[in-house]
Amino acid sequence: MIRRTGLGNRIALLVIGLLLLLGGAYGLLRGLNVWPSVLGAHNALIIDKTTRHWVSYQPWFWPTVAAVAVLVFLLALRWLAVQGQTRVLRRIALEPDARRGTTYLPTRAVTGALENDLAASPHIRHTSAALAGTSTSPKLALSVTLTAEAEPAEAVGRIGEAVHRLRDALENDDLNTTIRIRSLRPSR
Amino acid sequence: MTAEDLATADETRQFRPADSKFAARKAAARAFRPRRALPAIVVAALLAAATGLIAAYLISKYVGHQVHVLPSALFKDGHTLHWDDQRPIVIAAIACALGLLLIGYALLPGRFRVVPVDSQDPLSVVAVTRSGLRRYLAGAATVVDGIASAKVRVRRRRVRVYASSSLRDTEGLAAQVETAVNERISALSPLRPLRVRVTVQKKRD
Repeated sequence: MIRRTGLGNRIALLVIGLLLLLGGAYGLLRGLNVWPSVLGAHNALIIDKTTRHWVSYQPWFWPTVAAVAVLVFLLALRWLAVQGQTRVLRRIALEPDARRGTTYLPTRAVTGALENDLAASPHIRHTSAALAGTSTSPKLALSVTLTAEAEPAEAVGRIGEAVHRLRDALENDDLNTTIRIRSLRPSR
Repeated sequence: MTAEDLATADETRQFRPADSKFAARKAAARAFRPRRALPAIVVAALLAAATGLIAAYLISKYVGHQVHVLPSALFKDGHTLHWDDQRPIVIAAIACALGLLLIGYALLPGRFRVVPVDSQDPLSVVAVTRSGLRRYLAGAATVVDGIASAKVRVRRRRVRVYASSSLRDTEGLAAQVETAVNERISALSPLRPLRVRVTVQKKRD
């Protein structure tokens, strides 16, 4: 499953924020008697007689509120659930077209090869790689720790070459990669 | 490998035009900007609690076993309070403020923990941690003759270098430090240009 939690969180927060702002602004403006002709009288009851009568003659009203509450409840639970950790892929599909059969490769083989490749560089102290996304469209996450004396600019080039070799080996030219570079504190 | 690294990979999208600095910056921003997990968890939990209680109240009413999970004052208030009473106005103002806060969380990019740099590959995004860049640039400053130690602060668009020198005459040192630091920055080519300002202080002995 491709999850873009960051984007989803922002969209949900925007929608809820807008609803809160609009509702709050309506209450505030009406209470302060701004545009009484549009918003209604400021000294009226919040739930007046007309509203109460109208609701009591609509048999669908409360069941609908209950249904909407259940729906929003489930959506909120789902929203909570997707905040959990992204799953690491255990295997990737080498053949993108499933009709011609599938071959799976354990991701350990892929990430191990990349880690070994980068371990040869004098700039790089430690590499950790993992694949996320889906087995047919994996994404590479790479965390590289440089030595204290390393030149990050050279290390970026070196990492780029290693990723390129990995793409060649996998025959996957669309492998998205995110690389985070850390560096060690110099030992004195 | 941290959960953060994995989540970052999950934010990326396939394909972007090559040789476009703007597209590169956008892709990096999408991958590395804060995910707003904490506000999302708080809002989702509150929303679930509120709607869960409402649903339980209403459904229990239809089933015939009324559970009183909602404060009964809530219903009375609606029938007795007017729009211009103090309490509704205060509640409305709080709702406005919360709404603005959530919209801010949604639309503002937030503080980046890393500095995205040029990857020279349209399918990769690369970033250096702030602390890593800080140490790297401080190293460049101390290479300059006469500089004893240097502290660096990295902001979104600016780099501030505080260097201290044991020399009596520090004239021209700031320019040398600036050149040295700029050289390293341009080698790394951050996606958002970083302006360098250097202050050289005399070391007291």
